[in-house]
Amino acid sequence: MSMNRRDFLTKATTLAAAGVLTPAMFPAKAAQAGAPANDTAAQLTTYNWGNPSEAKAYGEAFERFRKIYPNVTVQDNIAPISSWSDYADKLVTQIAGGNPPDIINIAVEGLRLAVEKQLLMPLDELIAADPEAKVLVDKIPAKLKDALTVDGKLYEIPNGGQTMVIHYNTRIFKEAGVEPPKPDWTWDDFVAIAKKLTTGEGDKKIYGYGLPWFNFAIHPWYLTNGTYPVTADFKHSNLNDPKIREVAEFIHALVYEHGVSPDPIGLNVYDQFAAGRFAMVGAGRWPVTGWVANGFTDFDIVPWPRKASAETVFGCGGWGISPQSKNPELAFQAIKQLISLETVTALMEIGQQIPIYEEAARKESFLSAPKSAPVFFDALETAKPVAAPAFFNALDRILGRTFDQIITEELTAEEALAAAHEELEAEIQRG
Amino acid sequence: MTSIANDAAAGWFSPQNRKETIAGLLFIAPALIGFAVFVAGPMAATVVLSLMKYDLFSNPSFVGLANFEAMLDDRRLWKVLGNTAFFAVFAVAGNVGLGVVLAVLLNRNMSKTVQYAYRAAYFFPSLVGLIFVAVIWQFLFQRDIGVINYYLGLVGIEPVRWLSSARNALWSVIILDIWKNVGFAMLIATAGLQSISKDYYDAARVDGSSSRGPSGRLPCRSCLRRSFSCSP
Repeated sequence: MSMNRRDFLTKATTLAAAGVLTPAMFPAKAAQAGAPANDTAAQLTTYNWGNPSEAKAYGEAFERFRKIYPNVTVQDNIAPISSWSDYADKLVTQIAGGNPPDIINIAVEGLRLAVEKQLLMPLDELIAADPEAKVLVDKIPAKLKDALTVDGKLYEIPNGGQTMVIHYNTRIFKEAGVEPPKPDWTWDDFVAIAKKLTTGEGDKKIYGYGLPWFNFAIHPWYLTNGTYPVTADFKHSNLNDPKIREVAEFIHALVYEHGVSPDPIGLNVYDQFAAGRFAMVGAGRWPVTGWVANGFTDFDIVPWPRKASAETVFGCGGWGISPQSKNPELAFQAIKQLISLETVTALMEIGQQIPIYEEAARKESFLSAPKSAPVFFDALETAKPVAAPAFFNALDRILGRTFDQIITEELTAEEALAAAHEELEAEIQRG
Repeated sequence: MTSIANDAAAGWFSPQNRKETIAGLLFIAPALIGFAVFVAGPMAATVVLSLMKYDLFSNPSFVGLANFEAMLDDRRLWKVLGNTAFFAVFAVAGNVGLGVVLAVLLNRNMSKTVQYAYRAAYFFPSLVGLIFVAVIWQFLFQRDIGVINYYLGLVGIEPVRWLSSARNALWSVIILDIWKNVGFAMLIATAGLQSISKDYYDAARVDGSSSRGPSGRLPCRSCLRRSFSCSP
């Protein structure tokens, strides 16, 4: 039986009026004006990361996309990730090998490198031309969008974030008779509390603070001391700033002078925190789901202690499109599904990320643990993105080695940072 | 002389020999092509690229020996080479030496069940992925809450900075490497021991040799010979 457009509209309107026309009967929602036609045939590929549960949520988003574009297949390539440097290197190699993905999920750490190497295209025009996308993007906090903007152009649409806060064991605090930290506590308060909570000997010893030993987790100390590892224009090293040295000496003192932190080398701080060996630990939201799933719920969070500033650090990832994509408009339509409230909520409920929409961050599933969960999202207001210049790979490598040298007392903070500054500048010059 | 050479050349290109030559070349062609594509080609490309500045995106530009100058200027180069040599010497010596000792000990008269159990126990770490080995040993070596220092503490020994001392860290990695690979060296040495005919032992014993004499050295020589050719 054939049906012309007018017949179809008449019957559809009648059915809708009768209340029987449900969205489920129209799974293939029409494409937006300016978007590719619904019958476009193509294949999209991604360069993506995530655990199996997150991959499932992405798969569901792509299924929704395929209901609109049934002739488009999406090959979601989840790359293993050990560090952002390594992840960016693999992407560079893949593209140089003539196999550019259409959709790229990369964190702010790799953004400037990707932009400098022309691995990402600006998305502003695509967003402006699509009212649906504009509504979604407008709801994302400006801090996240600014972090993924270079020279005034937005190269990625944020897909989730992390803010660093202090997690504390409420049982240990209670048993020691120590009041939970106040939101405006200082470095001095932090040391005093950590000292009070460092108790016991041998296998009964509890440390005040478990020191996570990677670049992102050291960042809040820089920022709350009013400094940053690179200059404001992201062009040069700032490792010779005396305030960076103060941070290194403070961290060294936590281990060797105050004795409130164990030697961080070879330590899984998050497992040990859940095991009750540390009263406090610094982290984003990523360990929370694992702790809760394993029955550890005696913890809460508080903003990072401050010294010269109240700024903590945040990191975020985003969806971008390769300029070499043959189907950038289609890729953008797929990204719209990836940033839909449905996908963002699903990812948030898996538990790793802080959602990009406040609406999702106010849901019960986000607020269920810990008690002060809103602090994760609210910390964005006073947070600054992790230092991610185009030479991030070199910065990450050099900073990691430098802090190892300091904590192992191979070099003093002054010697190690002077050498690191010199080495980083030389790497920047070499390009 | 010239005549002999001409005869040889004529024989080489005779219809019979030509067929054999072509067949031979065809037989070795897969290996030759594989070598050219996967070994010789990349090696040549490495030499050429070492003289270029190349970031995979822009066209490579010739920079002469600048990359080598930068490498030689790096003060860490000699330390890295020294550490690598130190590690290679002690890890190989530890693996092969301990592997031979274990093989000889397990090659003695004992119940087969016990022998297999020991062999499996020593070989098991070779089957564990390096990433898991690293995680396990990080926990064992940790200075303040690690298992090794805990037990050392029980007998009054101060915590050792296994990983957080530049001097100790290299030894810690060598210990880890020996733990992981000694089972493989033991297996190679065991194969060497078991390939020795029993007649040699009987002959040595008839000659009045003890386990410290020639019949004791015989297995050691055999398994060392194998271990050095197959050391992990």
